Amino acid sequence: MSAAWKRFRRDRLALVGLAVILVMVGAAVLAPVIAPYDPSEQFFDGLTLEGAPNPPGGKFLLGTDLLGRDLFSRLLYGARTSLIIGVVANGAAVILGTLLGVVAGYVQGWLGAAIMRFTDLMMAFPALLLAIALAAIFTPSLWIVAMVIALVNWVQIARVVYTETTGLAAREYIEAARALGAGSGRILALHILPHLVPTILVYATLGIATTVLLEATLSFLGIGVRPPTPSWGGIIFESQSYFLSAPWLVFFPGLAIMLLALAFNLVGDALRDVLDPTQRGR
Amino acid sequence: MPDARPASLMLRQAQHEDYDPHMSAEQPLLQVEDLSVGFATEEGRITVVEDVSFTVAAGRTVGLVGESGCGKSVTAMSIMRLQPSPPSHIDGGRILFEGTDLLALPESAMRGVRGDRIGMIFQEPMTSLNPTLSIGFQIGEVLRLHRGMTGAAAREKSIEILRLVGVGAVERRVDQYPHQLSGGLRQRVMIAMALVCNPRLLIADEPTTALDVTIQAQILELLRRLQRELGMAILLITHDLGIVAEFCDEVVVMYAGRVVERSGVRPLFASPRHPYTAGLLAAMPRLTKRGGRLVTIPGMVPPPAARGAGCSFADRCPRVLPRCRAERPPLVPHAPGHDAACWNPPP
Repeated sequence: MSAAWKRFRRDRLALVGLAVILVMVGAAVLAPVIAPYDPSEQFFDGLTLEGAPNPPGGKFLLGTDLLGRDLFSRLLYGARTSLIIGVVANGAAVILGTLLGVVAGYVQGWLGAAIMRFTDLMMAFPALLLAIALAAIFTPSLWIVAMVIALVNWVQIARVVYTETTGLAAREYIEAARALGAGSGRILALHILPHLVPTILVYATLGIATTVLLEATLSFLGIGVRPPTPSWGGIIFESQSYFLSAPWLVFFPGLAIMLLALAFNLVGDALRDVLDPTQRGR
Repeated sequence: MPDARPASLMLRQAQHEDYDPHMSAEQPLLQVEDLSVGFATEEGRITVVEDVSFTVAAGRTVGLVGESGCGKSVTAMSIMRLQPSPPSHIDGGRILFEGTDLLALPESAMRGVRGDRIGMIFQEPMTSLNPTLSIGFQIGEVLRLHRGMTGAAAREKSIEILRLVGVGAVERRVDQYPHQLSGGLRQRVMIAMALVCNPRLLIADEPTTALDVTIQAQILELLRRLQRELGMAILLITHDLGIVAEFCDEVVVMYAGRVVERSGVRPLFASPRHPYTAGLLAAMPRLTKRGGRLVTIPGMVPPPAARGAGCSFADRCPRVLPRCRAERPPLVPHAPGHDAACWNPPP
């Protein structure tokens, strides 16, 4: 493990990514301490005399939003929502997709066929519609939204992992392992899953930005996280029509989402290299 | 790969053992009886291995010979019960190993046989090792599976077996990954993995085909030494008659899914009793004759679906009789310990 960390440490960009993630997690956890104001408080001087939001600077570091609330405070609290969605919902989707894809690809037969036809069905079904249906059934809360996103997003991962697993299962070292007496559990854990790591990492890091935005879409449609709870995607969506007059309302949360996705991409890339044994001992 | 050694040398080496299976009183280690394996295809069921019978006595080396697609690998994989099913299916026969019918064993018990009582090595050393795991881990994995060994004990045993198969600088090698090893070394690691539990039988499926000639010789020499030291039997699957002559005690020749000839090495090379075997021997290039044309067997192996009632070799056979096309010749003794399936055997 320490050897892996050593190699990880050599990757400057990965360290930057890791730092960004840590800062964001810190900001989310410490939001009540850092935030200068309550994220839901509508300030009397939060709007100009014409009723427009304040630009960044002065009393409000990043300006105010359409309702005169402090954008910086809202972004800090929004980090909680967005990180939970980006990490938990996306993570759950990756785990679910990987599990189903691996089982279908390795077992094949009727079980594999059933899983993959179900996956195809899910793919053909509009994800947003399904999310709306699911969100309508359950009372919206952050965790329900995360679950809904996971239930919608596992499909592509399952498809890719399935294809990769069928290829891996035909490798000769799988047969060799079987000839040495290994059972299916061992073959999956030792000989198939480690080879899926690069693919899974790519999907996991790519998925972070899309899930954060999917949450924003759901919020926009009124089935995501309930206002006034802030989320990055939500802030973009509620202010997008004022993009020209108040660009900071879209720019800062957009920057936060981009940084989050970029940081996870950098760390994911480095992890893939670190976990690649052909890079070992070089 | 054609063998370029003089035939006289091969024959001399073949003579070092004069084996007669009827003289062996004890029960053979492996006894394949009337094994038939079929495949379900879109055109219906086809039989790729039909009524194959042979024995491997403890400590002996048996060569399973035939050209690509004759069913020799299917036979080997069936012994290990590693034939994917579906699409393949064992239609009949018994595979007795140390008196137990492997075909009747539950899968969990079969897992205990594989890698422990029967080892297997494959043709492609470049792809038969997991690239993400160190070789020490992969050998240790076999010990974990069958011996419950972990940690330092497994590592020590892994180092020991790597040393036994002639890997140099073992302490460094044991932590290396397959991509850091050459083809010959990887095959040695494969052999180490197959032998670490000291199996009674080693099935070697074209173990040297993917290696260059000098490494081939080293690997065969290694197998011979290990066989002597560990006292195991070897079932060697190959299409290289030169290797058979040098390495095996007995030969089973397969053609189109059936055993056509079965004998000790010396009588087979001295007087083949099946025209196919005779053709194979004649087709071996020799260094003793300059400028001669290479001899071939005309025609092609009939596909499994097109095998009729008669002898599958009839269409390519120089000694074909009308009877050959009508009636399949049974595998019968033509001399003590020398069986062949032919109505009109070469003299």
